[in-house]
Amino acid sequence: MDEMNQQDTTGSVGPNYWMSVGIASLIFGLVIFVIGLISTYLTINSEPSGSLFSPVYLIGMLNCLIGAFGGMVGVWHYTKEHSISIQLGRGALIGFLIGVGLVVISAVLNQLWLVVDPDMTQNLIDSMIANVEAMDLPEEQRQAMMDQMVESARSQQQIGSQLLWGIPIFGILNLITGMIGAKVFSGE
Amino acid sequence: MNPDRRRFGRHKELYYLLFGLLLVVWLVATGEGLIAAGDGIFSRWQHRAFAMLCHQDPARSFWFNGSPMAVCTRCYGIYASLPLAWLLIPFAGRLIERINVWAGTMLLAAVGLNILDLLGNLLGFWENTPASRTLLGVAVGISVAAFLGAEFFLSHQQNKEE
Repeated sequence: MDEMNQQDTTGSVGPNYWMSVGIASLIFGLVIFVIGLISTYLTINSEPSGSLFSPVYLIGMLNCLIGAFGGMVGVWHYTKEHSISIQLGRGALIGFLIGVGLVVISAVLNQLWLVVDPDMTQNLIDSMIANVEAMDLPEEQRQAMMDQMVESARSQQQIGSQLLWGIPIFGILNLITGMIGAKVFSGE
Repeated sequence: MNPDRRRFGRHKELYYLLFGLLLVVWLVATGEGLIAAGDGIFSRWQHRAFAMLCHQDPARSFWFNGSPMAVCTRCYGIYASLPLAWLLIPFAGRLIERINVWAGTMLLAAVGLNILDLLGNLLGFWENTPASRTLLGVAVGISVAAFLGAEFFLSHQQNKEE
C-alpha cells in the first residue's frame, strides 16, 4: 500500500487517508443507496394505510443513523490500518470527505438504477398519493401534503439536487462523527 | 490564574468553524418559516437538504410562521441544542472536566434511548409526544458537545507551559 505521507492543517505529518476515505465512502454510499431502494419499493408495494408512520419510515430513518456514522468508521479504519493516534482536526477532515464521498456514490448509483427501472419515481409518487388520499385529513391539508411529497420524491431522484443539498449536510454530520471517532479510537 | 484549572484554547479554529457550521444547520433546519424558499432548484431547499436524513412528517414536526420545519421534532432537538451547547463549551471547563470520564456513556445512552423510544412507539408499547421526542433529541445534542468539549481545552501540562 502506498504509505505516502501528507501534511495536515496542524502541520503534523501522517499517512495517506484516501484509502480509508474511499472504503468508508463506498460502503456507506452503497448501504444508503440500498436502504433507500428498499424503502422506495416497500412504499410502492404497500397497500395505502392512511398512516404516515410505518416500518418504511423506520427503514428511512436508518439512513440518518448509518449515514452519519461513516466518518466514525472511516477514522476507525484509518487509525487501525496505520496504528496511529490522530488529531481532532484530521478526524474532522476524514469525516467530511467521507460525507461528500458517500453522497456522490449514492447519487450516482441512484441515477444508474433509474436506467434499470425508469418508472420507479412515478410509481413511488402514485403510491404516496394513494396513501395520503386514504388519510383522514381536511382537503386543503391533504393537497398540501400531496404537493410536498410529490416534489420531495421528484427532487430526491435528481442528481443535482442530491449533490447540492446532500453534500453539505452529510459532510457536516460526518465531520462531527469523524471528530468523535478521533477521540474514541485515538484516545487523544 | 490557577495552573491546575484547564483553559480553553486547543483546536480553536476547528471549534469556531464547527460552531458556524452548526449554526447554519440549525437555521436551515428551522425551515421556510425562517428563511423563505425560492423557486426552481431553491424551491423548499431546506426540506431538500434534510430529505435523505429525516422523514420530515409535518404532523411530527414543529411549525414556524405557518410552515413545517425542515426536520421532525426529534431532529430539531438535536440541531437546535448542539450549537447552543457548543457555544457554552468555553465557559464550562470545570463541568466538562468532571463529566469527561462518562461523557461517552452519556452519548451512547442518549442515542440508545432515542432508538428505544422510536421502536417502542412503532411497536405500540407507548406513544411519544412532541415534547418527549424533542427532549430526547436535545439529550443527543448536549451529549455530543459534552463528549467533544474536553478536546478544546489545554491539558494540565500545556496549561502550565503557557
